[in-house]
Amino acid sequence: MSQLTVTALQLGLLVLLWLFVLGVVGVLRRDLFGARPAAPAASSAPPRAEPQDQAAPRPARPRPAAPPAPEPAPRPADQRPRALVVVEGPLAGTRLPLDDSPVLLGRAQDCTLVLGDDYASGHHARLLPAPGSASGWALEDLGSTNGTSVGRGSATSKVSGSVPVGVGSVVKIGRTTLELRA
Amino acid sequence: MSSPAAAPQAPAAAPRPPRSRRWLELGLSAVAVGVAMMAYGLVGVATDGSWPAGILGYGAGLGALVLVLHVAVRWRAPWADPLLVPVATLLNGLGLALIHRLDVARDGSFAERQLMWSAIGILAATALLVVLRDHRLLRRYTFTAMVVGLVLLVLPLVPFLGVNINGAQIWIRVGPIGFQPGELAKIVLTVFFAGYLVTARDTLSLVGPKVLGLQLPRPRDLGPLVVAWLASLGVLVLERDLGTSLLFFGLFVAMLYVATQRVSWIAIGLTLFVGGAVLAWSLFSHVQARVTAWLDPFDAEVYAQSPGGSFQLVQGLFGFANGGLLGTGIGQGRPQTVPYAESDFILATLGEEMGLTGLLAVLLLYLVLVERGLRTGVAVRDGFGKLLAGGLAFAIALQCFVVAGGVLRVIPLTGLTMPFLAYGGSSLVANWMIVALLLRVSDAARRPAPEVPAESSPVLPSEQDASATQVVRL
Repeated sequence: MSQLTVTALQLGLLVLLWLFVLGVVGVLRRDLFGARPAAPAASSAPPRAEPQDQAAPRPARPRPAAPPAPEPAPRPADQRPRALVVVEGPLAGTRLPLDDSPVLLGRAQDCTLVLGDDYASGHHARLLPAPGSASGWALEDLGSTNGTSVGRGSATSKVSGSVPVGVGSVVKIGRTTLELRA
Repeated sequence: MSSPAAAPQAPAAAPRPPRSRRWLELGLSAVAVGVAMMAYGLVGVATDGSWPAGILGYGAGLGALVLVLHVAVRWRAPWADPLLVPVATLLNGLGLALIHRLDVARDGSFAERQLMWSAIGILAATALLVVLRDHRLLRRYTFTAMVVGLVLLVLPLVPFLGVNINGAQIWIRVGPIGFQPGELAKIVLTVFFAGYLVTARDTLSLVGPKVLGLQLPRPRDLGPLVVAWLASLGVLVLERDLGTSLLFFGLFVAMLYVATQRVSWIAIGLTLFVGGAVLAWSLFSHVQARVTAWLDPFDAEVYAQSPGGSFQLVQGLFGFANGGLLGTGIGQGRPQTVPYAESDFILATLGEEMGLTGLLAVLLLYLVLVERGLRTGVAVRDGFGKLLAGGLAFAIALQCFVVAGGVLRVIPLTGLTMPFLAYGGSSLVANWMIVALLLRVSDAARRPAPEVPAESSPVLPSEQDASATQVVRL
């Protein structure tokens, strides 16, 4: 084989190596910046109650004085919950409408409901649609430091793993108490 | 900041289903095997003038091994990160080709053994992926991991089992097989650090006195850090292994910082490190020799001194210089003149024969490996997984820095191996197992739907990808 061919092959190896690197970097780039949905429609804007965000006019502003929503008394559990309401704690009065997306609860900024509660973990718990259970929703503790408890009325129990929840379920995270309402 | 983060949570507006990217992984792995085959073939082309006969067998062997791992990933971790396997494959394959090239120059048989260890490593990674269904299971063995890790560290000191090679007491030998238990200890201790720090995080990040704008921890919370410092000093003194000692302490400090987010731990860690380094330098002649070789490598006396001189380091630097921008071409340089060119100084071989161009590509691939690990740590939802992935990624990063820095004379030379690239069975197996663990954690991080109790209906192609997207804003 001539020296020229060998040199060409050697350079070819470098080119191939760099093509691999560029391919990998392309994947990284797409992961970081790419493939974002163009314009999320305003109507289907996700539920995101974020009390720090002063500018956004949202129906979920804390309304501390009056009872937040004059809902009827707790109904049978087979009804699907429509909202998550903070009844006690720093965010009392915040109401988060529930659609079909899971809701991440915790102190971290990327949570759906950012709890300004020192006793909550960064990613504390998750409320997610569970097609299998009667009420359609399940609560999962994400390995939080102080734990999550759930119950109806006075009977509460510590959450380990994932438990079904429905209308009237009361969830306690740190000093915050949340309730699922219809 | 709310709208980009919230966007992926609207399933109606985001019809894009999350992708597992398994085909991308397969394609990139094929390219990686192709690069390795070409490098292997070029050794023959440059030295014999024809393609070597073994090239197809080599490609088929490496390809089959990677395919086994790929199938295991599809089966047991279908949402794992698609870049880890191809990048590791390419580094391993390129390392094999370079070791083969050194064998050709020196009539050695390192490549065959390295190929065997690659097979063992990839199969070990496959087994780990199949057996370990959830990385959180490891948390149960936090303190078992501590004991196992310490035993692995101490093992080379056991009489009749430990072997002293080149002044470092880091090998054990059982029959014909030699092994460096420190490499496995690295993984096991990362598991321990992660498990321990996830529980101790709150104590360690409690409020302490504030000095010069730095939030210091309370003195009594310094205990674990001091213990880690003493342990790594013990490794340094008893096993005379600079690299491992540095790696463990750095790993612990980094994970402490990840767990508590307090800069003061880094400041304290660096202070302890400097103290330990100065102490070691003033007490031990082998440390002094390393420092002298680093500061004055071109001094004739230091260069000629053997052992402990700068001959190896300078030969490596000559190699880099000879390689230049594009390298001499594989099989056309003289990397065999560097002692231990196949293990500690594999980067000098790479730099000479593939030049700065090849060296930068490889360093970039390490960077990608580390980035994917850290990203997995950011995206995964449980604290243990975060610390585990962050710790493993940082271990790779630190090891690369220590090796490359040593070879390129940025820091004094220490005896660690370049992950995947360098010759060394223990290191290769351990690094493939790290990849397996990262695959496992990244599977949990990227999995789109939560595991709800009833797995009856197919879940919505939606939201959980959000956490992978949101991290961009951090």
